[in-house]
Amino acid sequence: MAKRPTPRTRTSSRDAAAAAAGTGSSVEAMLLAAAERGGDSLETGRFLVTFKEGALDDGAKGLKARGMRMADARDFTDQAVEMSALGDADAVLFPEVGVALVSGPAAAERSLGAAEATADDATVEIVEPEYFVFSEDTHGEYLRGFLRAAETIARDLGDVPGPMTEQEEVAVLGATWGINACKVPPSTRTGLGIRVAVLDTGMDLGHPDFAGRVFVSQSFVGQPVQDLHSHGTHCIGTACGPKTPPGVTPRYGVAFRSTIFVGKVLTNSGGGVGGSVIAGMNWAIANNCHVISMSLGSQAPVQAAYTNAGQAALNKGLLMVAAAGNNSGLPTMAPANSPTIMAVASLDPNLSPSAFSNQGKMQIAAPGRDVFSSMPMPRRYGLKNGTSMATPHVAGCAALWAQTSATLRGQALWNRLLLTAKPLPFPLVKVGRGLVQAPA
Amino acid sequence: MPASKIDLTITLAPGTDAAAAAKRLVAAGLEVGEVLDAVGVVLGRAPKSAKAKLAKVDGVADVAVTPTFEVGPPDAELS
Repeated sequence: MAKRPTPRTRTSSRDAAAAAAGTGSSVEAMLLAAAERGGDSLETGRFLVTFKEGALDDGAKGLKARGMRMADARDFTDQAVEMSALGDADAVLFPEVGVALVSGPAAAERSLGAAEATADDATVEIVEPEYFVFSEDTHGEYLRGFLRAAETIARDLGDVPGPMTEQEEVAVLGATWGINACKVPPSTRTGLGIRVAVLDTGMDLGHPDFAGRVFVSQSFVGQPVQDLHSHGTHCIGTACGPKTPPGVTPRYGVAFRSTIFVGKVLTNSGGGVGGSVIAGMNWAIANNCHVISMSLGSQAPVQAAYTNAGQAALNKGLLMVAAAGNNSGLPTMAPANSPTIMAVASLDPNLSPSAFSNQGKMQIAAPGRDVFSSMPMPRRYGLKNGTSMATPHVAGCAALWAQTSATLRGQALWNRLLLTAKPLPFPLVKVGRGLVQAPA
Repeated sequence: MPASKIDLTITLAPGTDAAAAAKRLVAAGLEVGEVLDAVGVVLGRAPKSAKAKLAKVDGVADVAVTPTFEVGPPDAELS
């Protein structure tokens, strides 16, 4: 929720905006009007009248006496007010909370916001402007980004935009090609309650796109977890990045409400030792991370330690996914080549296997070419290529699937990912069962 | 002159008590680094010549030289 700014005195710009502020106005219309007004006021143009305890009915009579057409939440089944159905009602009563929402024009006509008008009214506790609320911190940027998106639609339609359908909104506000290909935007899932461990070069823990996210972090390489390389931040961005990055930045992350476990098993120069990786795996398993993502490996035969770790994970209902490797058709590298760890191939935007992607033991594929994601500040964002980028797409989708049911854990989650993958016209050794898909 | 040591990853058989196995490995010449109970692995250092002896310790399924990794520099073409 946005913090409430200091209430402002009435200005003419507010009167103009009041025209867009009916009780039945869509949120989009009000946001558009606000964006056009400019400035940083978060007022919608409508008002909330809070009645004194027990004074609701008298208060409602008072508003009617002033000529307002009143709607009432009790008119709707279970008081589930359909805001768009309020038509030209000047006010709508919410009896459970003792509040009336009053439209901008109705308020303006009766100088409702002015202190004198309400001082005489014994039924009213307070009259306050209604404010926009947001789920992210950067609400000002959201407004600017929204206006720019709306302009784009207006241009395309050659008309004043009406309320956007969810599909339009998603397409205009944008997501990376990879996020779209994995059917992430229409998903109702967020990753809430699911732990995603990313074993890599760490994370830019101060990255603004991750403000407010829960991080549990541990280094296994004798350097602080703070990512001075970029690989880890990029992978975590893909697996767990925000639903609505600020401004016109496209959505680049999957499980935006997951709990992120950052295991630094690679140094800031990108190197690592198997011991650190194993220690990281151990930590992630001990911490019951539902999904453990590893965009790393060595071109080596199956390592018993990794197979053990993968089995330990599955035994606990956890899932390990790892990158197949970028050596153009060489066999899947370790740890992805362990039978107990899911191997991920890379796809190009045309959904064919990337030329650099290894092949062989392969479970699934995901976007790995020109992948846009977070980078350590001040760079903030950047593109990378590799099976390293494909892997966190699978990890993020796995987190969304895990959220759909407590039974989708470990091997069951593995099976569900493969069953629901989009089949591709390429051999199993190149793309596994196909392109990973998020749940509805 | 003592032989130089290398990093080893010792995988234990399923169900083996990791702490107990680590003690046996020490007795067989391993300098234990970490005992990773959740994955059934012991990390340590020993001379290359000790590998065979360590592999025979009760509860050990595999002894491997710990591999190294590289994801390349930050601006690598492929990551």
